[in-house]
Amino acid sequence: MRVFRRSLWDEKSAILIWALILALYAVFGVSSYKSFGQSETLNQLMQGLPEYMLAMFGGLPWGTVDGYLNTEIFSFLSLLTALYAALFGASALAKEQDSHTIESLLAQPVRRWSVVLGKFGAMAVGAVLLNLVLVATVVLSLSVFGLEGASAATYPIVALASALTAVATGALALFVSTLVPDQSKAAAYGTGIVIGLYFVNVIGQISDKAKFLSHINPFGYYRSASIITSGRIAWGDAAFLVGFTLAFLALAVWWFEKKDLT
Amino acid sequence: MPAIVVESLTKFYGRTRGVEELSLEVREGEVFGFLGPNGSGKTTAIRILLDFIRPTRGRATVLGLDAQRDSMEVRRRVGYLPGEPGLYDHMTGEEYLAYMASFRSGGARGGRGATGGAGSPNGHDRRAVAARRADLSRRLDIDLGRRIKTLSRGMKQKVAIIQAFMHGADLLVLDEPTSGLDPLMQHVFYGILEEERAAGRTVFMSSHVLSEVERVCDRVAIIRGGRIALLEVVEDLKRKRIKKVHATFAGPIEAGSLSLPGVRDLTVKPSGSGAVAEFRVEGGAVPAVVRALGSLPLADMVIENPSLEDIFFEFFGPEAAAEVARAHAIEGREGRGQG
Repeated sequence: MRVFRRSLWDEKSAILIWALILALYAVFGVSSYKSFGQSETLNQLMQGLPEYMLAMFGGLPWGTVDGYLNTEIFSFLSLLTALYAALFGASALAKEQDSHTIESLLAQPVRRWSVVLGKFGAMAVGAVLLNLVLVATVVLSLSVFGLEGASAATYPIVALASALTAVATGALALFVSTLVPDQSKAAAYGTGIVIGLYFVNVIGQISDKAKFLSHINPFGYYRSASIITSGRIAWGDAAFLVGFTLAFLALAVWWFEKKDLT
Repeated sequence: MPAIVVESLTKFYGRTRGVEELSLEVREGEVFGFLGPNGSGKTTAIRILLDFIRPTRGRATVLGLDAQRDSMEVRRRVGYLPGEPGLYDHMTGEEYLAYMASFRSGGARGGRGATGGAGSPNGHDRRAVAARRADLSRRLDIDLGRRIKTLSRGMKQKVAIIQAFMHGADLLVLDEPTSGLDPLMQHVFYGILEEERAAGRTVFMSSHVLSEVERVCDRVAIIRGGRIALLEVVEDLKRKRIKKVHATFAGPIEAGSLSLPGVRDLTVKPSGSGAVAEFRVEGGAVPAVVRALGSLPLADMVIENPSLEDIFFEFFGPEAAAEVARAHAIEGREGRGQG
């Protein structure tokens, strides 16, 4: 618990900066609807986009508030917050090993698995907070800019799905950080893997032959358009994301427990 | 009960040897020196005691507890000073020490167990730990309010020393404790160590500085190539050690006047109206040699303690001495690199 609290406290500035940027992004997204979302020309342009770009943008009609916000904000929300989670997750344990602080820490009566769980918990809380901040800003901005017809009640569920995706990729990055005791390398590998997974998922969405790539990929289970339409997150999607998270968290704990700290 | 028992401890990193068939016993209440050149396996052995590294073969017990199976309890009762003071740069010294202390508050076992000194502050006693921290910071002359990233190497070492000592642990495991400290602070540190010994605590410290080990340790083990090459009571080691003598005489002398039992490699050369003699003498023969020198027209004299290289040369031959010299040269470069 102490590692969790300390890690979260140490990340407060980073979380604040990310939250500020995401809030500005949300305000920009909502405020631009009247200019771009209701533009006939852009509507026609969007309909003519290639399939892979439509897959990236989420699949709701651009001209509606929901469709516009899904394209502009929600379709990228999981990627943005996953990048945060990957950066934090990947550097969490690698930084401790790289700077030899892990020796100070583990010279105290603290179990290795509790260090891993503490880092994971801090990463997860950060990811959830960022998603909540963004969605809260979107909902507030809707009333500030007088936009109606949005399914605002479903947006927190989108945030939950995005947070689950971010935490899943963060768990993968945390596992990477147990393998690579070099902070900058671990951060590069972690974020590289997340960006790679995102684009691999896009390929999986547009190609039947490559569909399996989405089936083993957290981003394949983040379906913002479907949540906005149905008002709920599919249990199967949530189960995969939670399972993916637990699997990589278990791998991180297992490897960190057995590895030599040299 | 011995404070540390190491039995046939072996650790290989792939094909690279860390330690091999290492066995030793550290008695309760003694200050034990673990001496050897860089890469000899000192740090590997220490890290196995703290369960940072898992041995390939063999086992270690610390305060009667299995170093691996009972690692939590071991670490609760051990104060550890790492060879590299890995501190959190963004914290102040005070924050760092409070963070480290927080892991022992509440969970620490009360007594000193089988070892330890009277009146020692235990981990759960926050006030005692705080008082000890304040006392150590005053004696080591460090401002704990400063951010660690602004501290020099020596200052960081002081923070790490406070961290190891402030809990009043039953056993202190110190990896190169005076590394980075200036001579004045080394002196202060030796004083603190003396107090720990007087309080009955056990200290296991690694070093590559022979004079340091001689000064503070009761027994010393020399490790070479991952194995214990020598284990001696320090006083015995001193007696056995060869010292170098350089004597200048105001008048001519007969070489035979210094050909005493225990004197080796004697050379006498004329120098102006006098003479210069150089020789090596066994530790036990020093009083007889000083008496003999007193009967001669002695103008000046230097008795030099042998370096670690000399000791290795004496015990293990020129190849081992070269190994130590290489390790020192590497360390010197690294030290300059660190500024």
